[in-house]
Amino acid sequence: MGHTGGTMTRWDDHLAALLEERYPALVSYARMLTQGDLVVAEDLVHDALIKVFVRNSRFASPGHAEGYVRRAIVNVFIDGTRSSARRRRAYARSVTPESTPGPEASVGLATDVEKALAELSPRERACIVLRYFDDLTVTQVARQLGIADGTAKRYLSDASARLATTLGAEIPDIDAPPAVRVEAPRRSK
Amino acid sequence: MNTLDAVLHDALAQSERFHAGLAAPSVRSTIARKRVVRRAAMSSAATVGAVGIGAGGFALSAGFAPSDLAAVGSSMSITPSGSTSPAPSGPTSPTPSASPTPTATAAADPAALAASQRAFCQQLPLIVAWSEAAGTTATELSFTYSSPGDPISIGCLLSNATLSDPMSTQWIYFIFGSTPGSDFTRQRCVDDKGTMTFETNAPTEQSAYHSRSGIACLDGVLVIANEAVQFDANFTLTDAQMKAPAEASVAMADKARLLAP
Repeated sequence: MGHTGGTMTRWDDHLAALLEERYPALVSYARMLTQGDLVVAEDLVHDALIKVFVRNSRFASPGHAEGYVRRAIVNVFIDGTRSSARRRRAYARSVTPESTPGPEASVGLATDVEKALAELSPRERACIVLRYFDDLTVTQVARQLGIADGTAKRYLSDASARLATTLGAEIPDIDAPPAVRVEAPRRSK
Repeated sequence: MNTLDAVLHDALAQSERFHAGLAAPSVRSTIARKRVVRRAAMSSAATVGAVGIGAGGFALSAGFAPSDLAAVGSSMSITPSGSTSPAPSGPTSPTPSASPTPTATAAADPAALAASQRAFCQQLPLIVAWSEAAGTTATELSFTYSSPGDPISIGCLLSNATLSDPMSTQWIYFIFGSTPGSDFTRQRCVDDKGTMTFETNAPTEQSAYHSRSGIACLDGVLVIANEAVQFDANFTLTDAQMKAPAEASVAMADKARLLAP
C-alpha cells in the first residue's frame, strides 16, 4: 500500500478526494457518536479510513467510499466500547462528560443535541446515528451492528423517546421508510 | 413541532458548517497511521489490562514491570546518565555506541530476555527514552526528533506536574502539527483519575499532518512513545533534555528501532 512517488493509484485519488472534500463532514458525523469530542471524532475518522481502505481499495468514486467510511466509523466506535473492561473504562474516560473537554469539544454542535446524545448509551447512540443520519431501516441498523432486529428496535424506541423529550421534538415512526432527502450537490474533484 | 430526525439533521448540518474549514490530514499521514493502528491492534489483542488512548488509538499496557523496560534497553543503543548523577541541564547528545545498561546485561536467560523485549516493544510504537528512578518528579522534558525519509522535526515540551506520582498510571500525549511553517501544537493530558486538560496555541487551526506522541509514567517508569514514525524506521532523538530532581535517572535512546513482530 506504499506510495512510491509515481503516478497516484486510483485508491490514492479516492482517498485524497475524500479527505479533501468530506473530511469535515465525516468528523461532524463522528462527533455525534463521541459526545462532541472533536479529538476522539478525528481518531474515529482516521481509524475508519484506514479500516476501509486497507480492506477495499476499489471504489467507484469518493462518494462510494464515503458510505463505507461512515459505516466503519460506527463500527470502530462500537468496537471501542466492546473491548476489555479496562479499555472500556479508559475509553469512557475519554468520551464521558466527566472528562474535562478541550476548548474545541463543546463547539460546532448544537449544545442541546450534544447533551441529549451524551445521555444515551454508546449502542443507543449508534442506532440513532445510523437510523436518522444515514436513514437506515431498523433491519439495516440491526444488521450493521450485529444485533437482533428486536434489540435494535428497542434501542431506537427508547433512545428516540428520550431524545424527543429532551429536545422537545416529535417522535418519528421508527418503522417508517427512511425519508428522501435532497442534499446539496457535492463538490466534484 | 419538528420531528426528531429533522432536529438531528439540523444539528449535523450546523456541525458540518462549523467544521467546514477543518483541514484534512494528508494521504501520506493517513497511510503512516495505518501501520501504527495495525500494530496497535496486534499488540492490544495480546495485552491484558491495556489502557486505551483515544477512540481508536493504540493501547499501552500497564501490566509490565520496570525490569521489562530495562530489558528493552539492551536492545537499543542507550546512554544512561547514571542513577545518581544530576539530570542534564542542557541538550544531551546521545552516544550511538553507548553500552547497554548494567541492569539489562545482568538479565539471566537470553531467550526470556528476548521474549520480554519483544513483548514490551509490541506494546508501543516506539520507545525513545525513559527514567527508571522511582520517585522521579519530572517537571520538564523536551525533545525533537527526525527520521530518515521524513524530514519533519517536531519539538515537544512537557512542563507539567502530573508526573509527580511515578507509581501511578498516568498518560500524557501530545498531538503535533508539523506542517512546515506552522506553529501548531495541541496537548492533552489525561491523568489516572481521568482528569483531562487540553491546550492549544491555535484553537481554530488544524494541522495537515496528524501525529501523536506520548509520555507515560508507568510503575515508576517514564516512557515516551511516538506513533507517527513508521515501523522499521530508524529514529533519531536529538536535543533531548530532562529536568528532574538530582536523584532522577534518565536514559536516552539514540537510534531506537522497533523490534519486528
